[in-house]
Order: sequence, then structure tokens, then C-alpha cells
Amino acid sequence: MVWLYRLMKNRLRVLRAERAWSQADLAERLGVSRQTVNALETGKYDPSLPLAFKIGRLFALPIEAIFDDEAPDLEGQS
Amino acid sequence: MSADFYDAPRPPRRWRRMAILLVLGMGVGAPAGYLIGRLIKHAERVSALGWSDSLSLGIAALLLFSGLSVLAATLANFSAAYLADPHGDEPARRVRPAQMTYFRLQGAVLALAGGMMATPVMLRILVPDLPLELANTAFLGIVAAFLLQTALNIAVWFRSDELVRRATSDAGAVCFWLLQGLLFIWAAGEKLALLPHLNSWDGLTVLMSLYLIMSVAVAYRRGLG
Repeated sequence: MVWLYRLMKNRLRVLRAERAWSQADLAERLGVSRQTVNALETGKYDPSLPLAFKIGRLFALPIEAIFDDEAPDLEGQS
Repeated sequence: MSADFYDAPRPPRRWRRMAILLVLGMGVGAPAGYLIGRLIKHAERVSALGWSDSLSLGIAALLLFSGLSVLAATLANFSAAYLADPHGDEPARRVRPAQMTYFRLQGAVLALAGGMMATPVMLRILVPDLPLELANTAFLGIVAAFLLQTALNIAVWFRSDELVRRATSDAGAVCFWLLQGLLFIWAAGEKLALLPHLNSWDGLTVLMSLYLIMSVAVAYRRGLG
């Protein structure tokens, strides 16, 4: 999807699948809607810094292990 | 009050819900039927409406219908669950009371917006020679409704999650960017006597139309559609 700005890639879907959580399960743990989790996983929305930290704490991983700001399919466009 | 009153079985939830729907339907249907009847009676005034009056009435009807539909949907858990997650792949969960409150606030905001937008145009159709007292009363009512809607809007904002807030901000920013450009171009053309004069109601109607379109577009692209 083409945006006016770059969106990050992330490993949320994989991390969620490893724990056999549904999007609704993850949403409840993060205190957001399921649509927000879906938008994050499909790259339509980048989380705020507080939500990114919350995600990191939930999966016990540093933020940079979950989010990648060098999205390969958009490289060279900026 | 006797103990029998408290011990008496309560009507099933389905019947209570139907009773509420019936009361709501009569409360909405009766005035709507009356207004539609008056509009048909004064069809020549309706057909003589300008483009902005016609468009704003259409937008008002859409907002009213959406708001009342959302409010009606909160009467049952299954329809409220659909509001909470229209494309969820899991069986509908029980909607929490806080979510119900959130949807009711949203419904009230939409319905109030529709009512406020329809009132000036409807009054002009129904009462062509509007007495000053009635105009004053209607204006005070609209201002009161606007203040209430602002308070409800703030409550919706604080209850929304960050994706909804982001979509709202994005739609507002895009609208401002587009409308300030359009306004400048139009004002310049008008000043040079090349474009016709627009009044404030025309401007408001354009603003509301664009905001509705951009809200839907932004929400869809952000994954809220």
C-alpha cells in the first residue's frame, strides 16, 4: 500500500501465532481494539511509542526485535 | 410496595427489548412521519431548495439514520458485538458495558449532528415567514445541542483507542489542507468577479460533505472499514 510516509514492518503476526493468540486475545492484552491489532499486522498503522513499549513488554522483546523501520518493499522510495 | 411485586418474574429480555424498540420506533417514527407529510404537502418549496440546502438535508438524514441505527444496535448484544468488530473471525463476545457506553455516545453524536443540520433548513421549508421569536428559540436550541454534542465528542475522544484517534486526526488534517486551498481559490475567483458568491451555509455544506468522505476514506485505509 502506498502512503505519503513509510510504514514499518513488524513481526506481530508471527509472535502472536507462536503463542496461539487470536487478534482479539492480543487486543485485550494490549487494551486496544481488534481492528487496531489487525491494522498493525497488515502494516496500515504504526503504533504510538507507548503502545510499542507495551507490545515489547508483552512479548518480552526489545522494540527493535519486533518492529523494523527498514521495510524492504519500500526501500529506495524515500 | 408488596413483596409480591419484587418476587414477580421479570419479562424476558427479548420482550423488554421489543418494548424498548417499539417505544423508540414510535418516538422517532411519529415525528419523522409528520415531517415527511409536511414536506410532501410543501413539495414546491422542497423542489425550490438551493443545492446546499438539498445536500445538507441529505447529509442530515444520513447522520440521523446512522446515529439512530447505532443507538438501536446497542439494545442487543449481538448487534453491539457487530458494531465492535464487524469483520471479526471469532464468535461475538459479550460487549462490555464501557463499549456499550462508547457506542451510545457515538450514536448520540451522529444523531445530534443530523438534527442540528436539518433544523434550519426544515424550519425554512415549513415556516417560510419565520417569526423572530421562533428563529431565536431554534437558534438557542441549536447552540445548546452544539454544546452538548461537543461534550459528547470529547467523551468519545477520551474513550477511543489510538487508531480511532489517529484516523480522526488524519481526516481533520486532510480536510483542513484541502478546504483551505479550495477556499482560497474560490475567494480569489469571487473577488475577481469570476466565480459566484457562496454564503456560510454553502461553505458549511461543502465542509461537512468533504469531511464525511475523508473520514470514510481514512478509516478504510487505516483498516477501520
